[in-house]
Amino acid sequence: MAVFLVRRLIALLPVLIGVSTVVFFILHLTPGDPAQLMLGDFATQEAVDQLREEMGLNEPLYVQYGLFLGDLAVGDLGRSITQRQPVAQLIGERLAATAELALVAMFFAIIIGLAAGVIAAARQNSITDYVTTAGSLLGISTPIFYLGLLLILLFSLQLGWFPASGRGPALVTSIGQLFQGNPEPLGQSLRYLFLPALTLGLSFAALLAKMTRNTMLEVLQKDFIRTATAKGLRRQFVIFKHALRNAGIPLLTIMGLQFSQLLGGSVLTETVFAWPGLGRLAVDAIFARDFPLVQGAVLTVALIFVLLNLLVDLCYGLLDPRVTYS
Amino acid sequence: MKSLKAIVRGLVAALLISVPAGALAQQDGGVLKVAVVSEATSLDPITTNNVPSSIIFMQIHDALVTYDEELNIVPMLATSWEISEDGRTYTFQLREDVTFHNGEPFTASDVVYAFTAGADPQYQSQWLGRFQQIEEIEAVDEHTVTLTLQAPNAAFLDQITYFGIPSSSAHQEKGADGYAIAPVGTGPFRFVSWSRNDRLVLERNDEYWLTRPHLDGVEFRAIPERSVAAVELETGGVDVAMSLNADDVLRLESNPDVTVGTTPTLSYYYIAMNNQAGPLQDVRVRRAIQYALPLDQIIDTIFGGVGAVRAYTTMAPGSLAYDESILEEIPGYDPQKALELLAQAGYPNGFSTTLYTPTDSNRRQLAELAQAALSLVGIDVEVRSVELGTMLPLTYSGEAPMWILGWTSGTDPNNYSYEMFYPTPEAWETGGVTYNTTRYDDPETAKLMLDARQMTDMEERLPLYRQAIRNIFVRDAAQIAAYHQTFNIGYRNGVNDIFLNRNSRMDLVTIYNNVWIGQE
Repeated sequence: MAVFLVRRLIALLPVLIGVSTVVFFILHLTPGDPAQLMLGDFATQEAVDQLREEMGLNEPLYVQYGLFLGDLAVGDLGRSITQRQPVAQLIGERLAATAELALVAMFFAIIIGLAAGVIAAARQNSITDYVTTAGSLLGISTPIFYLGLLLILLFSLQLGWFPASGRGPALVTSIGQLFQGNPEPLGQSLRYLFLPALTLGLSFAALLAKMTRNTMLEVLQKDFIRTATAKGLRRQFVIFKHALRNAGIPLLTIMGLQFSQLLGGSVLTETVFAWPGLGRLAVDAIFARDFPLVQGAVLTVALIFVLLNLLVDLCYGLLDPRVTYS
Repeated sequence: MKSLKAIVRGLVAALLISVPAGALAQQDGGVLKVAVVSEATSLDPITTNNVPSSIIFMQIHDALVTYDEELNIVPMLATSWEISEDGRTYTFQLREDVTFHNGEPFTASDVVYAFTAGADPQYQSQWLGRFQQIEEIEAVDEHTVTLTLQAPNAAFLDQITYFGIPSSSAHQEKGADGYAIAPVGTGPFRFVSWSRNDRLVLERNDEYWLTRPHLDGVEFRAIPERSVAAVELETGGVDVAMSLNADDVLRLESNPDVTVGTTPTLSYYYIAMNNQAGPLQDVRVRRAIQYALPLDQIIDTIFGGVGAVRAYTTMAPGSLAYDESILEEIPGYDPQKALELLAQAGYPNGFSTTLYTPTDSNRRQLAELAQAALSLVGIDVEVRSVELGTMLPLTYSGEAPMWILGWTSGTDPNNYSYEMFYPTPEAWETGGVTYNTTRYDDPETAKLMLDARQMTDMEERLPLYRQAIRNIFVRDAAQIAAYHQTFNIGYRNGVNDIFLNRNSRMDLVTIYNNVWIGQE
């Protein structure tokens, strides 16, 4: 197990170096000059040249690349051109916001998606099944952006239950407060989290429901299910204990992959709900050609992606005792 | 002479301050929650001048000069100024009763430091391009500064109205990067906290030299999606929302809790043509395009009467060099004339070209509607929607035949003529940065604009600018003026003394307003 873990962690390195190389060259070869964009309306060629010099953009590309990798090796992500702050700090500030959004969205997705999928499979070809299937199809095809606006119109404008945008106190802080006997901040955090997390979670829930239904149907036709049913076990028990557990591995793989997609979807959700997360940071940075910031953000997302995959691999063992790590 | 004028203006400004804005009881207190579209990038006025940042840091800082309601330049931290005979040297007298938020007095050395740092490439300042014209700046005494330009520039004061002066000691101590997130100015509000992309909090500066701000504080929230900002305004999540969508304006106008104020701005959006390449070199072809575009209809279709007004030249209604008599000289919609002109120019069957546009929906629609209209006269336009970073280099290099862009640069007519149409042959040759991307090159017009730039009396300058604009838009059809955007502010009942600024700014405490919360 330990050997497996170390091997996998070492294997991360080439992936991350690959990602940073690709990002570096895509950025530097795309038209658009950060110095020019920064000077905006008042640019003169002389000023742009001076600024490029100061930013180190006049060095040959391979030299810039070498410097970039050198800094990266010692954990220095550089300094944002537009925001004039260390990239690591800017990303750190946002990471928690995006993480709590993605986690709560995942929570919604799993609750809604698994439940809907299992029920639909258990009552195949019933009205419930049709409604669920149609619902998930609708959910998959509704753009996040549009869904977000609809939810805002309903829950904020019409009903007035939740704020339309922004973030409350950080979730971690609020949970800490809860343990000190002060539940109020947690309520605030969740009020702000509810709509964006639901928006992000719903589209994922729809996909998950569809996958769960199909996988469950497959498993429910297996011999061991018939045996379990034949020996007189209750239907619920068969479904949850026998079928769902066996459907778990493919579902877990999907969830792992989808979680990274969730990070991608958070770009739009964060924009609609003015959520101060990583996605918005990255998009703004791309438009301003803020090279160091884009590189840092992409690298962070890539790191999360590979670590999540590792986590999924490790979870297989929990679900299926036949899986061993060597 | 010049100094006398400045003093008179100063007195007028002082009078404006001392007379209460209304007989109604104005209340102190309350925190104003404001939704802005874009996040500030930095709160350091020395290194930053983009509008989203400037809107916020100008609540914390003051500049040497400012605008009055009619956009005349009036004293702020400088009580008066004198311009030398050759138009190059400005001598500023500074206020003596001003302190920074850290308690230190405001002096000439703060001014010298700010301009010097802004012109120093090491600070990577967005002012670099502007400040290269400064030859020398020095403190004569505690409260007098002289600043010398390399060449006379009548628009100079206009160009520094949003250059806030930071505490030089705080700026040096924190460094530019540190100062960007913890500014110390002389303005109506002090900086409290900033959680990026979320909220930025300011509190009242009780010692503000101009007047006591009514508001306890201000909270800015960056809400990028405008329709969401409108919902926040309706539900009371924010008190003020800037830059609303046209659709939302129509909805909000029927809401009794909300007022929407609209004012045309000095912004200018246009369809540019490279005057030195392809069929568009020929003035007859460019005029044919003027005739072929039903611009009144197009602008009305895009904006539905909210959000923008049709433009005829760079000069927006209400700007100093605005000239109503020019409107009827600009060709109106007449496709038959367009066809005739194209035939005369040797393109009886039209030609193909490419129109670049930024990705926002307004300008994309403009591109598509222009494409449809031009196809009727045989001009086959390919529309390419690209983001700004990709588009600008194509306009500098001369590769783009046609493109759509917007321009806003202070209030001085110089910035809407000379800066966009003065020939820059060197940049054209090398593909370097220039703002005359239209490649308009007319010696007579160039001389008019240069002469006007070097005069200091606005009344003498205006006829020159009007003639230059007539040459550019009527005689040479160098560019297609499309629209001037309007600035919308929505605010909830109980927010008083909101001023609609033609520079698309949020004015909270100025020489002409002091926003307060409460029922009248």
